[in-house]
Amino acid sequence: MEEKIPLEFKNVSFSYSTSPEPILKNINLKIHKGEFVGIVARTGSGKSTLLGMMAGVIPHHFSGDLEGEIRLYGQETRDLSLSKFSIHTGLVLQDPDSQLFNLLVRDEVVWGLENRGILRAEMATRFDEVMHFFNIGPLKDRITYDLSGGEKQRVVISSVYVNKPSILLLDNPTSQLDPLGSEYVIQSIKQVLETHETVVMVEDKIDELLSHADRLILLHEGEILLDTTPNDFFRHTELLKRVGITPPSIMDLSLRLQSAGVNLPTIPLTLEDALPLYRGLMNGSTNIASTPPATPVKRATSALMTDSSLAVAVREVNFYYPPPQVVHALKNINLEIERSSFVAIIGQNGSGKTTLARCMAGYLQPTQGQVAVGGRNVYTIDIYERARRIGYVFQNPETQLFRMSVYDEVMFTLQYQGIKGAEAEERVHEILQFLDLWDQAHLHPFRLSTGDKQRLAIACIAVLRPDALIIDEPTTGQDPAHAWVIMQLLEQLREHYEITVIVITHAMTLAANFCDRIIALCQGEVILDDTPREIFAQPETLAKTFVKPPSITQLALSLGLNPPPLNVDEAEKMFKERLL
Amino acid sequence: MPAIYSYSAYKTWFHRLDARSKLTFVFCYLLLAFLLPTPIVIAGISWPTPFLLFVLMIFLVWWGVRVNPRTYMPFLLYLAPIILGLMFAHTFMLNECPCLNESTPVLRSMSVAGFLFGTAVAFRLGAMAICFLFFSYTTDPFEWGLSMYKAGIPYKGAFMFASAMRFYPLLQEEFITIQDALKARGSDLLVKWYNPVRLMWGVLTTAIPMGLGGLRRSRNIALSMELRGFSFPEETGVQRQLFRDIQLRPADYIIIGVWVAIVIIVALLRLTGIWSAGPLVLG
Repeated sequence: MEEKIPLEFKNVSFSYSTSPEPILKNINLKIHKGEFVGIVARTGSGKSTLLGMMAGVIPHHFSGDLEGEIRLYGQETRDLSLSKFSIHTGLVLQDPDSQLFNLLVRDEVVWGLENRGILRAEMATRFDEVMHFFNIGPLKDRITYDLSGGEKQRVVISSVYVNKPSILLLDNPTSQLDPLGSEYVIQSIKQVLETHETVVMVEDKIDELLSHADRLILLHEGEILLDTTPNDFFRHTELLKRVGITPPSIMDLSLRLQSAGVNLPTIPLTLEDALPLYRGLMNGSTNIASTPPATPVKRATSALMTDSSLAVAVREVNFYYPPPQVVHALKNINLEIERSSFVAIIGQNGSGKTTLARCMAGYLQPTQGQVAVGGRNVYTIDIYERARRIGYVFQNPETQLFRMSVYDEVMFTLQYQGIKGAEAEERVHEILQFLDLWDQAHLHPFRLSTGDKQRLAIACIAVLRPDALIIDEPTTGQDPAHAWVIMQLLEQLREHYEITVIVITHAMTLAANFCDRIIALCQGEVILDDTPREIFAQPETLAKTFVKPPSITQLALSLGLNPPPLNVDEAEKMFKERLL
Repeated sequence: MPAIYSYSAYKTWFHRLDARSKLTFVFCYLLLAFLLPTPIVIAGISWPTPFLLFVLMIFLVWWGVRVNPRTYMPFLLYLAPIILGLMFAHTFMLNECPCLNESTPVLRSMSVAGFLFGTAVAFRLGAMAICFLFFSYTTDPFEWGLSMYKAGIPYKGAFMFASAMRFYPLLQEEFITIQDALKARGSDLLVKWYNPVRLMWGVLTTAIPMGLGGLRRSRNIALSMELRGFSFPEETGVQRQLFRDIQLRPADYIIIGVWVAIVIIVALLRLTGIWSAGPLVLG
C-alpha cells in the first residue's frame, strides 16, 4: 500500500479576511516522511502563514479566503479540526512566553498529554523520556517565567514533542533568543533531527542546520521560487540577490573564490565543512604568511566626569540588585564613549548589558559611581533634559507606542520639550522622511510591520536629536536583510545628526560591519573593549560571553589568519592574495 | 523576589496547604474583619480591630510566608493614600460628638466616632488586600485552578483563571518597561506619582501599549493552547486526565473546620447580642 504523504499542497492560495491581497499564491508542495525542510524567506513573505497552514492554524484558527487543497496524510485539512490536526503536528512559535501557560515546568510538559486523555502511567513514562531526551531534568521544578529565553524555548519544544507529533513545525524558534539560548535550542533540534522525524522549519539562523537539511524552499512574496537541496539552493546567486537573501557567509566566500579560479572541490555549507577544505588549500599555498596579532589598545580614562567632549562617561560604577537576592550586577565599570561613535555592547543574558545601559540612561541609579552624559551628571538633570541628552529605544517597539497615528507618536515626544507649532511639524516631517515613514504617517502604529515599528520607535527618540542614543536589540526577530537596513539607518543617524549610537546586540555580523567599538561584558565586568577586529582576535576571552565572531572571522582565525576579516568582501580579498 | 500578587514558590507550611483551605481561611478572615467588635481594648488602649487584623496579616506574610513587606512596599505606598483618604473622609463627614478637639474649627469638625469608623473601613480594605497577597504568594495558580475544577467549575474556566495569574509577573515587567519608555520621551506622567491627576493620565497613556500588547499576546496564547489540544476533550469526548492531583490533607480539614467554626461563633455572639458592635475589652 502506498504510504500517505504527510503534507501536500495543491494550488493553494490564501488571503486573510483583513486584506484582499493574497499572502500565499499557488503553492504546490509535498513534504515527505523523515524530511527536514527549511523555509527561507524575507519577513512578510508568508512563511509563518505557510507553516500555520501545515499546522491547521489556517483555516481553523485564522479565517480567510483559502483556495486549493491541503492534505494531511491524505485527508483534506478543511475536514479536520485544529485539535485533530494537533495529533499529527506540533508547532513551536517564536515567542516562548506565549507558549508557556503553567507555572511549573513539569506541569507544562505534560499539559498537552492531559488534554489528550493519556493515562497517568503513560504520561509519567513520556515525561521522563522527554526530560532525558532534551536534558531538561534540572528544570523540572522551576517556575516557567523565571527561566531564561533558551530554557523557555527548550521547555516549549519538549512540551510539543512529548505529544509525539509525526510532523514538527518550528517558526523561527531562536529569533528572540540570545546566543546561548539559540545554542540550546539548536542542540535540541539537532537531537530531533537525529531521530529522522519530519521537520519543517523557518529559521533565519539556518546556517548551523544546513548540513542536516534535505531541502530548502525559497518563498518570496507568497510564491515558491526554489525548492531544492541546500547545495543547489545557494548556487542561484542572482535569484537570491534579487529577493534579498544572503547566502551563508562561508558558502558565499567559497562560491566567489571558486569563480575566481580557486580549486575548491566542493562548496562547504558550514564552518565545520569549510575548515578541512580550506586547511588543505592553505597548506598547498605559498602565500600563507599572516601578520602578527595587533596589541589590544588600552583606552586612557579621563579624570574629569565634566568632560563635555565625551558623549557618555561611566566612572567606578557598581550596581547591586536589592534583597532578598542580592546580585552584584555591575562591577567597577569605567567607560568613556566618544562623541559620534558607534558602539556595540555584547554579552550573555545576565552579564549586565541592560543594567549598564539603564544606568547610562539614568533609569537606574548605581549603588556606587557616576555616569555623565555630555559632561553632566545624568542623575541630577531633570527628566526633560535627560531625554534630550540621552535617548533609549527598548527592545520591544510595541511598549513604546502610545498614540493613534505615526505622526502623533513622534509629535508626542516633542510636546514634553515644549517644542510646538511650525518647528515641531518640521522636525516630525524631517525625521519621518529620514526613516522612510512619512508615507505611513497617518497609520496607527500597531498596523506597521515589525521593522517599521522599530523605525518608528527610533524616530520618536531621534526627533529630540540626543547626544547619545542607546538601542536595545534593534534587530531581534528580523530577517538578516531587514536587520541590515536598521543598522544602516542608525549609521545614517550618526552621520547626519552626529548622534553617538550605542547598541546592545547579539548579532556579531552586524556589530562587525557597523560598529567601530565593541564592549564585551561578562558577569558584570568589562572583559573586552576595543575595535571589532581586535575583539574577534581574542576568541578565548570572547568565548566567556558565549558570543561567537562571524563565521568568516572564525574560519580565518582557525586558519591562523590575523588580523581576521570581518566580512565576506575582506575575506575574499585576503584569501585571493594567499591562494591565487 | 516574588512580584506582587504572584506565587513565591518558597517551601513553607502555608505553601503546602491546599488552595481550598487557604481560600476558606481568607474569606473567614475577611468576614471576621466585619463581624468582630471594634475597637478592641487591650491594656486600656483602644485598637481598631481591622487595623489589628491588617497588621497581623502583614506579620503572617512576613514570618510564615517569608515575604518581607519591602517586597510589596510599592503596593503599600499606593494603598496608603486610599486608607488615609477613607479615614479622613469619615472623620469629617461623620458629625458626631465628641470631636477631636475644641480648639480650632477644623478640629471641631473632626469626630472621634468618624475617625474610628473611617479607620475600620480603611483597614478592612487593607486587610483584604494583604489577605489576597498571602493567598497569591502561597498558592500555585495551577493548584488553584485544579481546586476550582474539583469544586465543579468547568476545566476551561478554572484553567484560564489560573493561567491569568501565571502571566501577571510578565504584565508587571511590561508596565515597568512602558514607564521607562515614557521617561525616554521626557514624559513625567508616571514619575510624579504624588500628583493623582498626572498619575491617572499616565495610567491612561499606558493603556494603548498595554492593551494592544495584551490583545496580541492573548491571541498567541489562545492559539498555542489550541495547538496543544485545549479543546480536544470537548471535541472528541475523550476524558481529560490529570497528571497531578490534589487532595485535602488532615491539616487542610483542620484549617477549614477551625476557621469556619470561629466565624460561626463570632456571628452567633453578635447576633445574640452577647457581643455588641462597640468596644471589646480584653484584659
